[in-house]
Amino acid sequence: MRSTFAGWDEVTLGRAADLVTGALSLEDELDLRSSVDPRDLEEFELAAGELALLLRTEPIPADSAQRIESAVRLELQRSRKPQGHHAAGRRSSAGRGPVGTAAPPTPAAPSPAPATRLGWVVALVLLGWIVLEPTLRGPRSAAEVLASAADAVRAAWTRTDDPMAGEAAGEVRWSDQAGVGTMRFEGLPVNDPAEFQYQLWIFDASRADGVERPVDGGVFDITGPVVEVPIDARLPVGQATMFAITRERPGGVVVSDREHLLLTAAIPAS
Amino acid sequence: MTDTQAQDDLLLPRIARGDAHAVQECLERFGPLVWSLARKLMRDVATVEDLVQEIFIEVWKSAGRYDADRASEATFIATIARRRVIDRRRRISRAPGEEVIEEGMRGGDDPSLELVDVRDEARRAHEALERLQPERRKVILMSVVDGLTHQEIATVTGMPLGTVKSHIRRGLDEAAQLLRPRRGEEEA
Repeated sequence: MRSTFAGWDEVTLGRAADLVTGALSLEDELDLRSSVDPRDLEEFELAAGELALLLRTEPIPADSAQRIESAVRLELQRSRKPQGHHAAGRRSSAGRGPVGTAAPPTPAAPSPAPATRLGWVVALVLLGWIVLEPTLRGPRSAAEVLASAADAVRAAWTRTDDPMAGEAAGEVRWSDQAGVGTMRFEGLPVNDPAEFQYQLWIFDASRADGVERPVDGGVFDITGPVVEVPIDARLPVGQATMFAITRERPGGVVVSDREHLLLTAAIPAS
Repeated sequence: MTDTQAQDDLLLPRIARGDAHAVQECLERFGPLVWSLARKLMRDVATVEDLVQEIFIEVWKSAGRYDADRASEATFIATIARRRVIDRRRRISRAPGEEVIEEGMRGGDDPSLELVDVRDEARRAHEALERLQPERRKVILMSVVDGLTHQEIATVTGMPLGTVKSHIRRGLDEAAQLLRPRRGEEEA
């Protein structure tokens, strides 16, 4: 029997080939990414990327190039600014989430006014006294942990073709070792918690049933155009390979039927 | 790639360090590649611009994990671009009103290695493709390089769809095995 790339069987090889030629459904892609070594799959994707270098290129029209450069620069500048003006995602108190874990506004934003800075300090101290545990689990603490975690990774959200994803974008940051992460959403539709909530799912390659039973990452609400949400995994995650956001009934579900799978973010192989 | 000059030439580590000049250099150096990959999918210029912006922003966000021992910068960026293009194609395939370039409108009617633009960065890919069977090579070029769907390739070539899929599977398997052990060795 001939050997295949990474020792994959024919079915896996066929799905990987479909993936890199755009012939694989999102659902099948999720299954594939959770069932193979992500490093092997990335090598396979890199090989396809290298073959694509044979493309006969054409220059970007000057006016398009100018618009693209301006847009990219604007995005980079915006991304580098402090995040204090962003709304904080509301970790829901409904269902299985502990009461009172609402994320405070990101306190890292510098302010030009000393009085305002003082206000932040006072607010932080009060928060620390009143709700010490929730504050420690808030996005600032998570950001600090991620900043020092050697294995911290980030991945951009990819929208599915479900129209309920709106124009959502953003990214997820995660550390397997620390078991800590944050999610950033831009343009994900604001929800009425009484009508529906968003739920995070973490695909964990270290679990035997990691594909069929992704780890419940908890429910959350979107309260504004730009939202930061701390990740609150219900179970330990050994090797996160993919994050997915579904729309569920208030309080969330134990097992999602994935009817409304809105966003995914694949963690690149390290 | 270990000599100091070569390391200094790398753009992605500079981007990861927040070097604004490197962002512009990256757009200049790899813009045509990314633009051309996106143009394989969409005809509408505004949509292509949007997609190219999205790709470069992801390149910027992913620059910190670039590993020169695993791939060239061009390969790394092309891989990100292809993922985004495929995602976009998948998203619009069921959405009416958005225009995907139809069969025969892409530049893949008669692909051959003589027609492609072989640059230094593509030399290894060219060598790997040359080792494939001619039919397999042709199908890989139409699929991976020109972005035709499996069904479009079957229509253009007259091959049964199953044969197209088999050529793609086998061709990619062989090419990936040829490229894999040499990646790193090339850069080291």
